[in-house]
Amino acid sequence: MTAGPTEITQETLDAEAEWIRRVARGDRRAAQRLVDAHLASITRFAYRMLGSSSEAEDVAQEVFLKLWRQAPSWEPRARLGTWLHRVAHNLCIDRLRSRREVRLSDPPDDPDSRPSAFSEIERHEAARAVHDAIQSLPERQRAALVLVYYQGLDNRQAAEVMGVHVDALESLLSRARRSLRMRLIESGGPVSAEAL
Amino acid sequence: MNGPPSRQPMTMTRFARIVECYGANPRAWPEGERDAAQALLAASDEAQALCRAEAELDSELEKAASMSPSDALRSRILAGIPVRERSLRDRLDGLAAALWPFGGVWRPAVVLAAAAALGIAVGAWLPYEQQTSDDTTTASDVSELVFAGYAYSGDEP
Repeated sequence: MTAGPTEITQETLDAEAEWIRRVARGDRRAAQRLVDAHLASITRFAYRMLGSSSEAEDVAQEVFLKLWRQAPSWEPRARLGTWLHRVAHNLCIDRLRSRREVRLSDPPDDPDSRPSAFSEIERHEAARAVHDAIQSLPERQRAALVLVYYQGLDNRQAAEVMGVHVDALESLLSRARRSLRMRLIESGGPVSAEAL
Repeated sequence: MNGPPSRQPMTMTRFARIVECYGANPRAWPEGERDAAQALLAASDEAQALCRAEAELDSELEKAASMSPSDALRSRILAGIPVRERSLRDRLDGLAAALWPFGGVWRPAVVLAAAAALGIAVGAWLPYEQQTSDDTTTASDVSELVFAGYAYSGDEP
């Protein structure tokens, strides 16, 4: 799990809004601060949704450019992190839908192609197996799992990003984890079938 | 669900649902149900067994490949920040910073204002006649000095 959710207060929303207003006035340091706070998380989210580092970077760039365009009229209604995830989620879904013809089993980008020791290769293969299993999930299940498990959003934030009720989110999460367990067992991983 | 802490006792059915959705890490459990679920976990062997099974899957998920954004991406994003016409206030701030690059402009501004106020107060406090007579005397003195200078050099004024 990544960092957990933080308490949402009006002070937090107002502070974020002030940074965004500064960006709207062309304040580069404010923009750097927002990028430093959110870029890595949004890029990882897009990578786990799309399975491609180049596409993930394209999505992350588009998300922030949308934020810059939105900045002059920004209203502090939702956490910036939730807004960024919602935009990234929608962009990822659009991309996934536009490449239906691409086989899901295509290998993902290799994040590190340096020669490795045996344990490093094993670790790499395990990472790829899990990555493949996640990529094989239907897009809504994948989004629910990535938002809650990897991005650390709480159930309400994740439901808001996906535009669903919390009950529907739980249904997606439950099916996603069940599918992953099955897939990892099939691929010979160490996950037991105890909870199936 | 997330939200205020629930006063309802946690059932094993709901606990099983929580761990199958959110995994074995209580930090990921819905905030409103977390305490009750942890209490059940501490008291129930069945709950602990459910958690162990989900912890295995969590452990596998931790291995998933990840990535970090490149420096080039960061640069491209920052290159896209809006360029706005500077407001009057921004321009004044920039001018003040250029004139007084040592921090807060208020310090020299206060000193100048205090000096101006002192000058005005002293000027207002002195009697008008004294100011006038002093001015006359001074002007007269200067005239005499100028005349003496011309006389010394041999020129007519």
